[in-house]
Amino acid sequence: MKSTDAEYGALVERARRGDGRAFEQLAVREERALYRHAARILGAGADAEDAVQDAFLSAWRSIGSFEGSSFRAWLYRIVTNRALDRVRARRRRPELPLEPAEDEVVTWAEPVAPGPDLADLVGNREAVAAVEEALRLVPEEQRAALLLRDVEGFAYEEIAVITSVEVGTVKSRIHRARVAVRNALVTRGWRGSGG
Amino acid sequence: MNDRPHPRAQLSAYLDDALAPSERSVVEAHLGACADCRARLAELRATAMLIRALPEPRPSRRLVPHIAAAPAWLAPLRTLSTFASGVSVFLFLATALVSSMSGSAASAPAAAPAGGAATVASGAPGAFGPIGPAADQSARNRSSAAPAVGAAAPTATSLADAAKQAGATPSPSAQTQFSAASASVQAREGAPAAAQPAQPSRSIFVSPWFWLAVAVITGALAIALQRRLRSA
Repeated sequence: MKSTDAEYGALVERARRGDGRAFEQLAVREERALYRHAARILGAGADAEDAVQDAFLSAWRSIGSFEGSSFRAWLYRIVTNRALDRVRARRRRPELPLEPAEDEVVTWAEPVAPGPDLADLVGNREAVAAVEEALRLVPEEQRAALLLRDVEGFAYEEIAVITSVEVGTVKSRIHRARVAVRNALVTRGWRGSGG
Repeated sequence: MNDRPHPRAQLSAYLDDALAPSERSVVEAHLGACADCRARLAELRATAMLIRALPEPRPSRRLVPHIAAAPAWLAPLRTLSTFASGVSVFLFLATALVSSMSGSAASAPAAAPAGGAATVASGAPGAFGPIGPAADQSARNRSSAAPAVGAAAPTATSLADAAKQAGATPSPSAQTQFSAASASVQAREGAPAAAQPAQPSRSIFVSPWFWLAVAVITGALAIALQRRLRSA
C-alpha cells in the first residue's frame, strides 16, 4: 500500500506540472468512485456521467491551482459541486432551499413493530431498495455529506473542505441524513439491536 | 434511565469518531446507562453499513477525457501537413499545366510521367527528337508556370538565387524547376550536349501524378491529425 501511495503522489506531482498522461492515470483510478458518488446525488445515467466528465475537464484545466494535500478530496469537491449544481438546475428553483433549516429538530421515528435486525439486512434486496428510496428523499446537500462519509470514507474535516462549509454543518447534515434513512427503515419494521 | 438529556444529536458523530474527547466521554458515559440510546446508535451504525453496501452503479462509457492524447508536436505537424497539402495541390496544377502544354508543343504524350523533363533534355543539340525552338518553348512554359523560378533568367546562378529567395527551404520541386530551366538556358545558348539528361529520380518531381499523390497523402494526414487533436 505504501508504494501505491508514493506512486499516487508522484502521479499527482507530474499531473500538476502539466503531464496529461499522469492526470489520465489518476482520473482512471478515481473514475468509478466519482461516478458512483455523482450517480447517488443525481441518479444513475447520462447526467451523472456528464457531471464527472465535466469535473475531470475542469480539474485538468485548473490543476495548476491544486495545492492541497489530498488530490482525491479535490476531485470529490469538483464532482460534488457539479452534481449539486445539476440537481439545483433540474429543480429550476435554485434560490429556494427545500432543505429544512439546520437548527430544526431531528425527529426519530419509532419502530412500528419488532422485525429483523437492521444489521442482518446487508444484501437484502428489499432493504437496498428501501435505503436507495430513503436516500433519494434526503435533501441533496445532506445526502452528499452522508455519502462522502459512509460510502467514500472521508473524515468530517475533509467533508467540510469538499463542501465548503463548517465542520459543525457537516456534522448536522450527516446526522440528519442518516437519521432520515434510519427512519425509513425503522418504520418498515426493522429495528436496531443493542438495547 | 438516565436523568440527563439524551445526547441523540451526537450519536452520528460519536459513531464516526468525530467528537472532541470531552464530548466523547460524556456520550460514552450516557450510553453505558441508556439502552434507548444504545439501540439508536446501533440503528445508525447498521444504516451506515447498509448505505456503504449499496450496489455500485457503473458508468456506461469512459468518463476520463483524452488529455495525454495530444503531444506538443501534434498541432504543428497538422499545420505543416495542411500547408504541404496545399502546396502539393498547387504543384499538381502547375505540373499538369506544363506537361499538357509541353505535350501539345512538342507533340509528346500529354501528362506522361517524366515526359516534360525528358523533352527538355532532348532539346539539347545532338540529342534525338525535336530540336531548338520547340524544346525551348516548352522550357519557357515551364519557367512561367513556376513562380519560384520566375521569368527566364539569363544565367544559372541568378536562377539559383531566385530559387533560394522563393522559399526558405529549397524544396525538391524548386531544384527540379531549376535544373529544367538551366537546361533550357543551355539549350538556348547552343551549348553542346553538356546538359545532363534528366534522371528518372528527379523527373518524378515534375509528374503531376506525383504531386497529386503527395497532396492526397498530406491532406489525409492533416485530417487525421485534426481529428486526433479535436478528440483530445
